[in-house]
Amino acid sequence: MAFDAFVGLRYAALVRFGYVLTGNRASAEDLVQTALFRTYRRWERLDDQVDPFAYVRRAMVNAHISWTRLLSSREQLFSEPPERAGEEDVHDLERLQMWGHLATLPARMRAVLVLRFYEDLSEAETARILGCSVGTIKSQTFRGLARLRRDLAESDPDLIDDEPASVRSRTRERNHR
Amino acid sequence: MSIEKQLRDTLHRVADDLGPTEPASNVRAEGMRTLAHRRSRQRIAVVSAGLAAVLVAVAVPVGLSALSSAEDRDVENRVAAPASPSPDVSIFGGPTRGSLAGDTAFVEAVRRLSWTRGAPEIQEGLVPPVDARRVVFVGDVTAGRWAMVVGDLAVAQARPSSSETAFPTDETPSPPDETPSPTTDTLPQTEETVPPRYEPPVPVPTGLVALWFAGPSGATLAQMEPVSTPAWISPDQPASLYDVPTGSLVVVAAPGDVIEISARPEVAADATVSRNFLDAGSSDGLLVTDLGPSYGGATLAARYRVTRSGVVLAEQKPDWSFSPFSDEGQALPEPELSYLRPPADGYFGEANGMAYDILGEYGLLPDQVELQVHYVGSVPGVNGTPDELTVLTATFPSGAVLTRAETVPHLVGDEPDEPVEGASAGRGVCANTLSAAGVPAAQRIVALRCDVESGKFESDPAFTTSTLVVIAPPDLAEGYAVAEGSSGPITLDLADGGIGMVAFPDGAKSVIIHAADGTVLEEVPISTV
Repeated sequence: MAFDAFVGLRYAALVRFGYVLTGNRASAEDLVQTALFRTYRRWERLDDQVDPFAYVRRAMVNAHISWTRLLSSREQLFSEPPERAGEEDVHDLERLQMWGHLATLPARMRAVLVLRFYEDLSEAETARILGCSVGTIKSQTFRGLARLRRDLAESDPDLIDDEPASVRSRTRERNHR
Repeated sequence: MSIEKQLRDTLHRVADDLGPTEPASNVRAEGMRTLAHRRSRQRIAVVSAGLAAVLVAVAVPVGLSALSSAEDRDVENRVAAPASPSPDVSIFGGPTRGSLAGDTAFVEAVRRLSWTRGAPEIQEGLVPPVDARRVVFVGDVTAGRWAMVVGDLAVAQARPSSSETAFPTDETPSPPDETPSPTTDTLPQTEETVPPRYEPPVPVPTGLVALWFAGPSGATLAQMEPVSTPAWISPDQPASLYDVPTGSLVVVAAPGDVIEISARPEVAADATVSRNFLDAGSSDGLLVTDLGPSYGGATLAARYRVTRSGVVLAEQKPDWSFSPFSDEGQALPEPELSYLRPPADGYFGEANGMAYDILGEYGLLPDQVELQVHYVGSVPGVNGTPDELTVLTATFPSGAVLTRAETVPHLVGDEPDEPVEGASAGRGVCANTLSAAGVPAAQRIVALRCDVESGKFESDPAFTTSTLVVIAPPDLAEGYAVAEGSSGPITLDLADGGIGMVAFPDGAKSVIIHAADGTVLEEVPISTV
């Protein structure tokens, strides 16, 4: 497949992935451009066994994680989600709160949750992308969900109906800054 | 609802609400070639080694985390408490504005321009029907000819995208097309339970969407092409388009709104950073202006501010920025770098890219800032693999000095291939600090903490390699530096042309520079990010 054909076909999906990963549209587009640049330079060498989309996605995740240090002293906005015009119900509030709490997670933890619950990847594939063990993915998933559960419960106890009694933490982790 | 389901629902709905996204030219093959060409060019001018070593105490650097984050907090604070929009305010509902608003035939033709041209993946359900569109702005700017079209979306089901039409109007119906699922490319699952695929409801969009078109100066209708992507807009919030190379800026606000511009942050001699917003002469809630050329980059220098009835409605970067046409004929001069010492053999660093970033962030041109590369070479990485460290200073017109240090994985050869297995996670920042004017940058001593991460998690071994790096003028090679860590003093030999590196001593905050005979020359704080 020609590079431009691939870009035309998958760009929108890559930007959406980048958006849920970074929380910011401009950052998502920058991330996609960076990953596509890295991919373009190797395009002719990618063999038929390598899925370009997965390759670019992996490059995006790795670039995003390294960028969290680069951008910590510059502007990094985890923007409000686009307005879903016409809907005003309790689900929008839940979504906004969840989105806000996602922004407080460390970059790698958020990447794990995005790969697992947006891309619906397995623990093994997520571990392969992030270059770590399956056990670490299990741990990061558990901790990430526990934090979200706790944060949502603190925001509105009625929003969560499955909070384990054991989920409590006295210290709140700082994000990548 | 379980937390897993809530999370999955949120992520998918947020992503779906992003709307259609069109790949611009800068992510296609031609754009990639342009980007590669820009990054590979460097000019080296090695400064003579005969520098007098005048050592004067350097002022405590102002952490640059205060720069952008303070601006952002200010912006967030302002935007978080906007004026209650007047129910009568309608930015996009009035007559067409701009220098070509009187050309009714052209305005009508612009209204009918295709929104899916060159973007087969745009879902038709997010493209307003022609009879629901209106042209908000159309006119000539320095960069060419621009237009903003908005449309009211009726309740519609999102449908698969259409193929590109031969002529850029939306009157020609297009056949439906398959929109591939982004998750069909995952590798085969393994033994653990795979979360069931969540199928979000098909979006039912309503509201205003907007699209910007642009063409060269005097563009015909056929030359006007989309330069943004269809995006939801709020009817009472301003919209803007910005062309980075020329500085052309259009801000569309409501009649009566005051629009002010800050082309760039101002760095004073004492290293404080501020912004001056100036009335840019808007009329009827419309601003068409020219900020001058800029390098753009990760962070735009320009900001605009819209005030309504004395209350700040918005203070932000331009909403959309682009460089739609070829760099040919619009190229800004290459930043000139002075290398205080040659790069180490086989090391290329990131000085050129860093220079572009700095020029873009501060809205400066190469002749307004002195860029000096203090070091390009190795720094301890992870798993025994070195990283590449680039240390660069930028001296602003005020004399204040920005020190920036970045690492990248060390690649091999002139045409970089994949990083060495086990190399670092990627680009990292070791220092980004502003210091007051005083000692010339070339004569300053840089002390920084450089953390190279493996990209693995904190629980994995060798997660981060931390190094104290001291870079002094070459004629201090006879001297040495001492850092006081929690375990006692650590000495760094500067015999390597004024360079010293050691595993970072926990708790160290500064280094003391000594001459060869032990005389204390100065104390230098350790820069961090």
